Amino acid sequence: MIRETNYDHLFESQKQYRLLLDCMAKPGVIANLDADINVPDGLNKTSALVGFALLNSDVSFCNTINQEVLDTYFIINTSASPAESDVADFIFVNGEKPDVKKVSMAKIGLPAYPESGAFIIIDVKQISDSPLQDGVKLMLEGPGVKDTKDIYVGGISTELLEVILERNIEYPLGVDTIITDKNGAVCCIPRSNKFKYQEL
Amino acid sequence: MVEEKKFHRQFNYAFIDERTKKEIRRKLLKAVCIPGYQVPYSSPEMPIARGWGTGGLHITLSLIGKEDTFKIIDQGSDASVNACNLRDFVKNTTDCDTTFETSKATLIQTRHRITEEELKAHQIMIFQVPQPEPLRGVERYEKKTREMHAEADYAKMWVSLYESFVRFGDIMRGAGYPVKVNGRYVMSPSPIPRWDIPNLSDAECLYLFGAGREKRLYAVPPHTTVEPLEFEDVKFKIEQFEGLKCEITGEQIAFLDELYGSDGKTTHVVNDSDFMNQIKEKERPIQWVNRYLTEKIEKTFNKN
Repeated sequence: MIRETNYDHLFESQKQYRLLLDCMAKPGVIANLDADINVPDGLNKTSALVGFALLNSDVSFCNTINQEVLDTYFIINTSASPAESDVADFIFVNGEKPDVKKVSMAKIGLPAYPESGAFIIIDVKQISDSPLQDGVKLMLEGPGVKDTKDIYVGGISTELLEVILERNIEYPLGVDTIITDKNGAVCCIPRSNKFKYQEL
Repeated sequence: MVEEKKFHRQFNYAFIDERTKKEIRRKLLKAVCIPGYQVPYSSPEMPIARGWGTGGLHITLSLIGKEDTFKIIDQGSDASVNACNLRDFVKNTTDCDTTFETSKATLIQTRHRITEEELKAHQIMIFQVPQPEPLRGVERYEKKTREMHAEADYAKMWVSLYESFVRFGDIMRGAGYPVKVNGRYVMSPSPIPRWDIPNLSDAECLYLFGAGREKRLYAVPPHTTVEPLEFEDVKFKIEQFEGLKCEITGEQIAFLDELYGSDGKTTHVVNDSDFMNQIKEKERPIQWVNRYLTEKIEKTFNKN
């Protein structure tokens, strides 16, 4: 199993966290994460970098993509522990072929402690500001967005988007979504965002 | 032996260890996702006592990188004791650039003021918060205030504002006027004057709040509605400083400090030291735009 010796857990994770924070504060903003790492098949490099920036032994993750290999990869590189999706703090999902059942069990927090809701990290093919063929248009509205903002995502199942909307119906309870693509792009949809989607 | 330059110091980069930084970073992300909600966090030990700006310092040190330009103000001043010491501390532990100029800063830590100059989208303002719980004055138990926030039950808060009006003829809250964020959570904006409250709403920049002693983090993302609590017939208003102007610059549209001279006379100066310097030495920086300030400008110049 690969131990990422080239990754700088101090400065690279700081840089990538700042980009993530910017994306979470301004849903619809697309940032690029990059670093010299060798991610196992099935997971976007950007998703791994999100994991490196946020995971450590204090939190748990559930990977619904490529169970054994990716579990070991994150354990070795972040010391986070694998868990079932109903207790995991971070859930890694393939956007095209999501395990919807597991996502529908994701933690949404408690009324007095809504921050214990999970982060859902979704691997997609492409994220763009301009329309994509066979993609989905996400219309974002809420805190961080001036009026409305549209982004286009290729390789995301609408069934998954429905599950996320359903989990976020009782705001402030809900899940916070981080979408990553194969080219290093990342964008975020916090639970406070009231998004709609449209298939293209 | 291989020389390891990264660990030449006895402490980690930005003082806090990486594990704790990650915890604070995750909590900050959650705070941004739920605007106005107070997220509990570990509030690690720092070389200054809790209650002296550790909450702000935790956020700053968890976010800061070598490319950042850091500015810190205390009651609007770059030169006060709290600001100078924390600036030195951050500079010594991070090697980042520091500045007095608001427009050049990427991270601005503040105690009790928002800069007079408008902040841009790439800037983050970090508040040092003494008491994050706006309901503490009406409910002493944390468990109950949590329940009240969870149920959006702010009746006691409204009653306290009403009682204040009945007793004194006005809502007697100067600094730290309670606000409602994104139509959901009532939040303490930290003890900033009323003058600054409208600038929290629909801003371009991100606001982060850290209360080290109380171990709470919260946030107001850009373009988020922040409304001061007010009644239909008793409206929120900002400080007016009627007929007063800055002794040094002649500025009338800025938050003013009252100074007492040895001769017993009182004079006023602009509270934001960088704003005053820019007016004095260069040109007037672009100020925030809000309806309260527009009314104040109209009132001041129509009278003149």
